[in-house]
Amino acid sequence: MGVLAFLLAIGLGFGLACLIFASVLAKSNDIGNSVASSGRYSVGISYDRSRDKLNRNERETFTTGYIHPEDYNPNEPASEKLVDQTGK
Amino acid sequence: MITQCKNCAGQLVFDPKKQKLVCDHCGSEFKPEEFDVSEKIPLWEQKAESMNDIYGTDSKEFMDCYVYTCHTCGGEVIINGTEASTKCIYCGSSTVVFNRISKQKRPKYIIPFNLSKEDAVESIRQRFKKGMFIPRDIKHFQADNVRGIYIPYWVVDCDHKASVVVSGIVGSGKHSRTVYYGRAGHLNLSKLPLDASKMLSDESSSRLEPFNLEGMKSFDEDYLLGFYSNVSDVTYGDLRKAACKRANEYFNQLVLDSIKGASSKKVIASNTLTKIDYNNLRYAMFPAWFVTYYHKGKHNTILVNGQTGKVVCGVPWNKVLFYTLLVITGIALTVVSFIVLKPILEAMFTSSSHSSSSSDSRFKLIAFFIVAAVGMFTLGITKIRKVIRSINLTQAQSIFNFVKKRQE
Repeated sequence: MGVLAFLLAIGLGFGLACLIFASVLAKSNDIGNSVASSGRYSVGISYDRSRDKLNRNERETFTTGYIHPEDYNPNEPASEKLVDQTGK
Repeated sequence: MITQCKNCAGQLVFDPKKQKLVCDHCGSEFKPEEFDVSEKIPLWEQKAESMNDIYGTDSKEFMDCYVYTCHTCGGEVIINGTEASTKCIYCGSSTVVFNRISKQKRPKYIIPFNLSKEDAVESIRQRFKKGMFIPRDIKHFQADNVRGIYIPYWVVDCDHKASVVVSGIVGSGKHSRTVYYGRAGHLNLSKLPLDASKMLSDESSSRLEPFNLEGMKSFDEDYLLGFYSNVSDVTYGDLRKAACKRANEYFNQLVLDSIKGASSKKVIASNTLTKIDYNNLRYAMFPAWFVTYYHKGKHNTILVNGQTGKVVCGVPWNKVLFYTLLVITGIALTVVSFIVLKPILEAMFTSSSHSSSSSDSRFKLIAFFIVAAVGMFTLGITKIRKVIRSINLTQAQSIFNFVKKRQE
């Protein structure tokens, strides 16, 4: 029983220590690790469809059929072309 | 050079503190708007010549080497394929490659430097003072090189259409179950800045954000005086990929934040389309200070947002101190956990009831403790590795390469 308790204690103790010190290390040495939040560039998502508790069939089909071929821009500039301000 | 002091014809450089062009010789100050753009138009035709063309060779060594004539002394300045401004190695004056920022290639906007070189270095020192695991010799670092560089950006408007399926855990213990959520909608992004230089990674440049876009001014070459700059060299494919990646990250984060009452949420399936408004692409230059220092045989680079002063860097860490404190704390927490867990486990196993259901719940509880211990340990190690990876990202050689190949 003591052995089991010891093993569990090591996992919990060192695991918690790693979590604490990873946060401290990030705060200390990983400086400026953030990008601008989405709120800076948008007002939020405008939802067309929203469903909770999807069953298996719904899960498999939910992402299909939302984007249609006509949604794509047929006049998009070629991928290998350098970007310029004319957008052409 | 066209933009000369009106009083003594001396060299002008842009002073971030004063937000004016200042003469090196007589100290006169001028606003960039005081100089007529039309005087520079004849210079727009002067191109940088490829060294391979000059020597009539096809050498790989000269592939990205161009020669440009300094307007002040006539000396030959060697530049790469994307530099738009640099310093002449002979007379030290700022040299603007007008041809690369003329006509259709002319940026529309620029955010001038707001922070001087000294302020940038000072803000780094102040930030380093707070770092618990930053080695002492780095806290008192000597900058090897400090360069103000205008980074090219494309400021885009885009519409991101996506449908996603999110999984989440609801409930706790033996009552927990996985629930699936479906969300589909549009996210319109306006004035999203995307780095337009292939040499600088998007991960690094995006960390310089946010820039205050209200501070964008109409582009004028005179803001480049005293600084380095690059022109855009990305393709439409690169731009679409960058826009899609950013829009996707924002969309997924907003969806995950909107789902309440579930934990361990993640997007497990998605279908997305990002459409950029190509009629409204804005080419701009944003300022950043690049400060390099030498530590244990390796160059490290610190980025500072030249407008807001945000410092971005992964600093080498004091491994001895870190692991010593980690082990000591780990031992202390292990002792505390042992003191707490031992009586609980003993009580469970010496319980007077021997019914099968009681025995069953005892084993489930032990299994829960084992999973929690293993999970906590794995989570801790994973987090440390993630932080180390993030620190190494901004120590990447590519950032140093973006800075080093420039004239002094």
